[in-house]
Order: sequence, then C-alpha cells, then structure tokens
Amino acid sequence: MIKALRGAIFALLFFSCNIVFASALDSQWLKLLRYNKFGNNFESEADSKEFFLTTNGKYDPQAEYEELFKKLKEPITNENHAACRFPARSLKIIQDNKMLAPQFNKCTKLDKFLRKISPKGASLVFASYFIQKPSSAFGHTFLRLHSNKSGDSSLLDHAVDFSASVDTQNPIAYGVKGIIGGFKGRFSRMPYFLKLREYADLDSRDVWEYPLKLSVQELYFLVLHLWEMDQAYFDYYYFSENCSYHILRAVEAVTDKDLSQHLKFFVIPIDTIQAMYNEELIGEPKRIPSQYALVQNGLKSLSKENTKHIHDFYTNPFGFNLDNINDPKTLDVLIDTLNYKFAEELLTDTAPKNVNLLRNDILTRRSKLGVSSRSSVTKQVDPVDGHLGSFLNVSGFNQKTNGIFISHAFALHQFENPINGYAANSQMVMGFTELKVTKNDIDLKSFHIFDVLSAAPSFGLEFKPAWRFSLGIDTDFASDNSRAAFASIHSGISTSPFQGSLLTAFIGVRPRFETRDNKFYTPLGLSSIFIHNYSNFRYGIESSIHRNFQLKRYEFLVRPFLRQQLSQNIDSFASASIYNSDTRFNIGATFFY
Amino acid sequence: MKKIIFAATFALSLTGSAMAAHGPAGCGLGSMLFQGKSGLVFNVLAATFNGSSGSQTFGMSTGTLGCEDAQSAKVSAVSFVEGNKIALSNDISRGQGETLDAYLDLIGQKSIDKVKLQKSFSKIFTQEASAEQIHSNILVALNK
Repeated sequence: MIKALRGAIFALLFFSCNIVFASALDSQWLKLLRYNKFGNNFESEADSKEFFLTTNGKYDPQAEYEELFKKLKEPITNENHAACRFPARSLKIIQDNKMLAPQFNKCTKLDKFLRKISPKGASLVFASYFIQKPSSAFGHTFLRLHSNKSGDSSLLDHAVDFSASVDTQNPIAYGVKGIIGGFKGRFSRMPYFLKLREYADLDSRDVWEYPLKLSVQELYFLVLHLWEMDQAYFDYYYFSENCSYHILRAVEAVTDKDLSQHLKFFVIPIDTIQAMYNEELIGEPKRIPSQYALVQNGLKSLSKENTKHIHDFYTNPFGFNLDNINDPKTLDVLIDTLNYKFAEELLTDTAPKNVNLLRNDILTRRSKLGVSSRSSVTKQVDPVDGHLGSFLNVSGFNQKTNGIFISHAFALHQFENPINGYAANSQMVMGFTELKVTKNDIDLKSFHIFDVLSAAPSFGLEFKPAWRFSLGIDTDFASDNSRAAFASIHSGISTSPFQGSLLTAFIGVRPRFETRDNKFYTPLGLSSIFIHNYSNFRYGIESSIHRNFQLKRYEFLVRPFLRQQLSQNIDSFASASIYNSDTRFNIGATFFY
Repeated sequence: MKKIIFAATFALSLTGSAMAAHGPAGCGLGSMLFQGKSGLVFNVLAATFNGSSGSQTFGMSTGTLGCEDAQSAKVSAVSFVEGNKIALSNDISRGQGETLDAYLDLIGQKSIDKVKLQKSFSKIFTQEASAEQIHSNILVALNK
C-alpha cells in the first residue's frame, strides 16, 4: 500500500499529466514561489536566496522559470540538483511542457522524506484562543500530514508549522521586532503528538482539526511544496504575514482556489479558516478537548459527593485520602485533575518526587479497577461558526448634539459580542479606534492599543482572579472631555450567578495624563460587568466608579446595553453611556469582517 | 517561556538511543544548516538554533529533518514513549485510550489485549523508569 502510493508520487514526478499551464507567469507558478504583482513588477514574499535559482529571482518569475526549465534537462547527479530542491515547481514545469522528467529517485533525501511522510491526507489544525499569553490570544494554525504509516493514529502523523525564530527575551524588543518584520519565519516539521501535548495538555487549549479537501495530486503537490519550503525564510510580521498567513499560502499554492482574496491586511487565524471554509476546502472538524475541558467535563458526570472529593483533592492533593474513591469513573476524573494541576511539571519532566509518587499511586489504583467508558465530551460550537476577526461599530448617538460614532478594531472580540466559537467571558480588542462624527466636526474620541479581559469564573477548582487591562487614549474621563493618555489595570473576581451569565467585581487604578493641564491623575476605584447571554440576545451593564483624589471628585460610568445578533457577522446594539458630565444614547451595529 | 522550558527539557530528556543516532544536537533545521560541521561549538549552535523558536526543538525526536537515517523502530517507539509518557501512563492505567492505541500501532501490536497491559501497570511504570525502560517493560508484559 505504502509502496504503491510512493510509486504513485514518483509516477507523478516522472510522467507529465494532462494538466497544461499556459504561461510561465500563470497563477500557480506565481503562487508556488510566492510572487505578488505590484503594477508591472513582481516580488516574492520569500526572503532567502536559497529559495531561488537566479540572483534576481525574488523579482523575476520568468527568469526563475527559464532557469529551472534549463536545469531540468541536466541529469540528476546529486542532492543539490534543482529538481531535488524544488520538486513541486519542477513538476509544474514538466507538466506545462510535457517534458520527460529527470530521475527524481536519485534525490535520496527527498525519497526518504516522501517515504516517511507517505501522505494520505492533510488537515488544517487550529489551536484555539489562549488569553493568558498575548502572543497566542488570536489562536494558531498549522498543518497535520496524515500518513499511511500511522494507521488510524493521528498521534503518529507529522505536523508542519510556520513560526518565527524569536531571538530575544526582551518583551519590548519582541513586540517591536514582531511588528516590523525583525524575526525570520520558517516552516518546520515535527511529530504531531508534540503539538497536541503542547496545546491541549500544557496550554489547555482546545484543538480543532479540519480535514483539507485536496485531490490526490494536490496533496502530493502540497507535500513536495512543503519540502521546498525548507529553503525559504520569510520576514515575520506578527499582524499580517504571520503563521496563519503562510499556512494558508502554502495550501493556496497547490489548489486553484484564490484564498488570499478573502484576507485583509491584518491576518487573524480564524479568518484564514473561514477563507478555506468559504472555498469549500475544509470539512467537518474534530475537536481535541483541552486538559481543562476534560476535567470540567468529567466533573459534570459525577455525584455531588464525588465532585466534592475532586475539589478537596485539588486543594490538598497530598492530604487527600485516596480510599475515599473506589469507582473508576471518579478516579478517571481525579487523574485528569492531577494532570491538569501539575501539567507543566509533569509534561516537562520536572515534577517533584511527591507528585510522581502520588500520581503513580493513583494510576496503580486505577489499573486495578478494569475498563470503564469515558464520559463523552460536551459539544462546542465550531470556531468556523463564529464571527470573523475584525470589526466595525457604527452607531447613531444622541447627546447634546446628534451624530455618528464609528469605531474599528482589527481584532478580535468584545465581551458583549456573540460568544459562539470564542472563549466565553473574555475580550481581546486590539487597535481600537473610535471617531465621533457630528455635523461640523470629526473627533478622535479614543484609541485603545489593547483592551483585554480574562474573566473565567474565579471559583472553579481553584481560585483564579479575573482581570482587565487596557492602554490608550480616551476622552471619557478627562475633566472637560479632552483627550488623555491612560492605562487601566483592574483585577478581582468573576462568577456566573446563573446559566449563560457573567458577573465581575474588580478593583483597580486608571492612571491618566491630561494634556489640558499637563497633569498626571491616578483615580482609584471599582468596576463591574454583568452580562447575560440568552440565545442570540444579550443584555448587560458595565459600570465603574473611581475616586480622583487630586480633583477631589468621583468619576463614574454606567453603561447598560442590549444586543441582538442578526447574522453570523452582524450584531446590533442599543446602549446608554452615563458619565459625570454627560449622558448619551447609541443605536447601531457591530459588523465583523 | 513555559513552551521553551517544555521544549528544552524534552530535548534534554532524550537521552540514549534517539540522540546517539544523530549527535547531541539532535536533528531539525539547526543540524541541517550546520551539517558537516563537528565539535561542541557547532552542536551547541545547532541546538540553539533549533530551540530558538521553541517548537523547532521538537523536530528531533521521532525524526524529521535530517533524522531519517535514525528512524529505526525502537528509536521511534522510545521517542514516542518519551514524548507521551503522561498520556500513555493514563491510558495503560485505564486500559484504553488513543495514545495507547497509537503506541501499539507503532510497535505493530494493535490486536493485543489491552487489559493485560493494564494489569501489569505497576510492573511497567516502575519508579523513575526511563522511556527506554518503560518500552522494554511493555514488551516484557506482552511476552514479546
């Protein structure tokens, strides 16, 4: 079977197929080498010399084509032959020109690679949101290559990932270099299981596998193309030419679909999945639940008494009397709980001796209780059914004068937006710009670099503080509605008083610098959010009160709101914003795109 | 940071078989770029390069870039145990699971009675057993 398939790949390499591409500058050639057209000029996104055969290759698709065409007529004597380095583009030229293929089987490394990958399919994999780590707050995508050798076990497959080689520990340098393309991004291959251990077990993120609907030829092209990618590096742009972008481009290069047309300048992982979904390139996903989801799920199936045991165990694992638990189901949840609590130590092999001893004790007990069915995992909404990654709010307002508010953020999700496909009780807003348009005036009302909320319930297995952190320029609290640079740091508790609801109570500071009087103020106070999700309808209230000690006054905000989702990407709203000096009413909608 | 520690310890814990086959720096992109060079400095450079993006260090276990020649069955099995120790021990104690299935697939023992392994749990996961020991304990438990 394996042999036959490998044979098929080589057959593909040897004989030209029926597909004939008209020109050297046709779209597949351009896509395989990542050329973009600017006017009459071309430029490839790839930044490494090794990715091209000619010195000016980055800018000259025609010359690259001709050079490879010429090289393909030379016999293959060693690994460095262009055909061995660039099998996918070679294949394309061979097909275009109905040429006789060189002896690809002399490319021993490529041969070994193909033998090992032995492709039978591929998936796009999405590691979902992880708000605790800013660099992962948008999620991450990579590829899984299904191997004939793996049987049914995805764990034996290979993963292909695009990532930046981060060469600094300095968070500021990290941010700056990430934005301006200071890091080199490369494709790399690794065992798929390591990706699952890392995302699902260590980070506790749900992982979604979307099978790619590729023809056999497209699949082989993809594998050969990924081989070529070993020689490429790309300047890594965190917001645009990032991991998800390059994964999408690799898939795009081997299909006749124009996936990039669905993208905007800022590339959010979920948008690349939506692009593939819209082009009917992906099928129904499979979810691999995170370690945390496993624990939560297991707890749901337990009796009250056993749930209490798990909580007791979590709080004090070493003082817990294991004789309390005799049924396999509860012990299974206990094992998941232990794995969750000590995930980092266990997975990095740095667990203290008492943890290892305890774990061994529990597992040994479990091994004596036979096999029991695992509780099935609760269904989650497919991320593809959620809204897109950027949004625009447009609303009419009534204040002293009437006008329009227009705001835009390139990412990603406000806590009051529909939660389908997103992490509930969280907000990740970046690059939020708000304009106030009145009859005679356009005003920059606010610019938030980010506004992040992490408010998973505080009283689960352990006490987890919730927090909100934002930074930017705003007119909301300054003494005369003038602009002030501000930071806001709040933390506290979060609960869910009833199904689908969220209630937070935070304490914090909101320092600001006012240009009006060149003064620095540090109001201190409380803030709170309440929201109830009821099907497509949500209502809630956001409020805060801060004491401005310098000005000897209270500064408050009360903002009740109603929201109704109209379609996957349109969410209508009505709200009132009540400040010290002002009250305004807004009616409008959020458009995700 | 967590990721880097994870990557680093995983790399470091790969002692014996898997590493011996392609030098202490393992394989992956780093060793490809530095191939043909020998000596400590180059190995360290290669390892650093691999580790620099966190996940690239992972390239070294079951063999990806430049690791093809090390792909003996035992190396794969031991590397698999090393990278999946926690999940594999969960599964064996429960007598079922995807990680156990994948492992059995890898060693060509798909049709064995998993309960037999479950019953031998304490003999397989002895205290501080290395991946290599776990692997051979499993084979003993299966009478292979």
